[in-house]
Amino acid sequence: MITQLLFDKKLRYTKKGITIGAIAGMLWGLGGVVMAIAFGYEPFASYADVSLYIVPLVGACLGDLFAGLVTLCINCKKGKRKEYFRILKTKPGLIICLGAIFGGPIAMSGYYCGLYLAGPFYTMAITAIYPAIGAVLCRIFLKEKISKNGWIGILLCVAGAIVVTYVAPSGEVYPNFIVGIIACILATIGWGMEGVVCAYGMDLVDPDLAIGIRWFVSFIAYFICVLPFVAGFGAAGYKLFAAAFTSPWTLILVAAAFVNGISYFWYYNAINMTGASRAMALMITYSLWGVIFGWIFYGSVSITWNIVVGAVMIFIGAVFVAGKPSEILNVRDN
Amino acid sequence: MKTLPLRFTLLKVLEERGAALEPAELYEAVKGQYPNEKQCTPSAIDEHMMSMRGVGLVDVKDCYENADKQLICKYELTGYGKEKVKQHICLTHGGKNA
Repeated sequence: MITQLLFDKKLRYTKKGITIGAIAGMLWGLGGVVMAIAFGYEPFASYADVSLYIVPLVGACLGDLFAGLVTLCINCKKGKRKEYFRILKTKPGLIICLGAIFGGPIAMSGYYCGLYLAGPFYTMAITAIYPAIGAVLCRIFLKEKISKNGWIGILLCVAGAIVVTYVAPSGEVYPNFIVGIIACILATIGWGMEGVVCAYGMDLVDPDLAIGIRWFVSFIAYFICVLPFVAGFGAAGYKLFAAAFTSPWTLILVAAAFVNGISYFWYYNAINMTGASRAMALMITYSLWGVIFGWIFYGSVSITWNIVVGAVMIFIGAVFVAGKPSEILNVRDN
Repeated sequence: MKTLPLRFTLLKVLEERGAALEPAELYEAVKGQYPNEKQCTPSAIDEHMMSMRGVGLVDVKDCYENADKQLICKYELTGYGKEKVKQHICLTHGGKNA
């Protein structure tokens, strides 16, 4: 009887992790669509011609700041405010900061550079494999347990994401194509590393606080290291950043950041509850949700063959990843 | 002595006591270091223990049903957990093994 109660408790915990991981992917897809809407309004619309990077990178910087504030509010409500500084004084806390650098400025900047220098087709396809990279790294460094079905699920999710985001090469010439591919690889490894590094740090660090720290560290890194270079070397990035605080349309970006904040809050918790490999595979379903929410908000997305096929692959992959929760009550082989 | 993050303190208490403890016992051991902090409650501590059980830092040694028919688990450090405590908590923040 007690054994059964304990098993039920562990199973509920694992199922909760899978559920919030899946919802995190859905919310990230929604947040991306809302963020894209925000970029069409002031002050971002005015700056679109300044450079190709300025809007998405300044938007990412602002998004990290507002998401960090959302997470801070949640953590304050839970009575965890003082833990921020306590954790930053520890080595695992610094490891979380490293994960934030990987996932934020490195991966996102690589992603946007890839889009610009190599085009969307290759960027989407290459960066969509980050869960597979992350799963391999998790197996090697964290000794995460991944069943055969788990691997099938991860690979299906990745393949499905590639298929959903397929954009036929348009024939445009990209003179710095190789640099773009390198940027894509950087983004892929960055996101994969974020999952692994943060999972390692979250052995000891509360996931609620890990994500809280992650947003602020990423914001600071963007603000200091990325914004000066978004339009050559200069102050254009800071001008757009400041202008965002004077425009009422920035509330759309704040809404996106709110959704993204909740998404990543649950994503980090899912990493801790079900393992980074599974959490990343569930997170990649955002590629499908992005299409669905894009259709809901814009109404102009054509349902093409690759969306349908990719959606089915992602769904089946997610089912395989979730698998039999009773087989993943222990995340690691420790 | 500076206050450690709650999880660190919980692991340190388990290491120092060398015995399996339930959330209420852990709460009694640590509450003095986190006065008036909402995060420090027996139920929140149980959540932390479940999270750390998932990654192999602690394991459930025993459990029982209390008078309210709630399952109460006693948690102890695993070998991996002891290693992590020694590596990240005791050596850098002082403790029995420092």
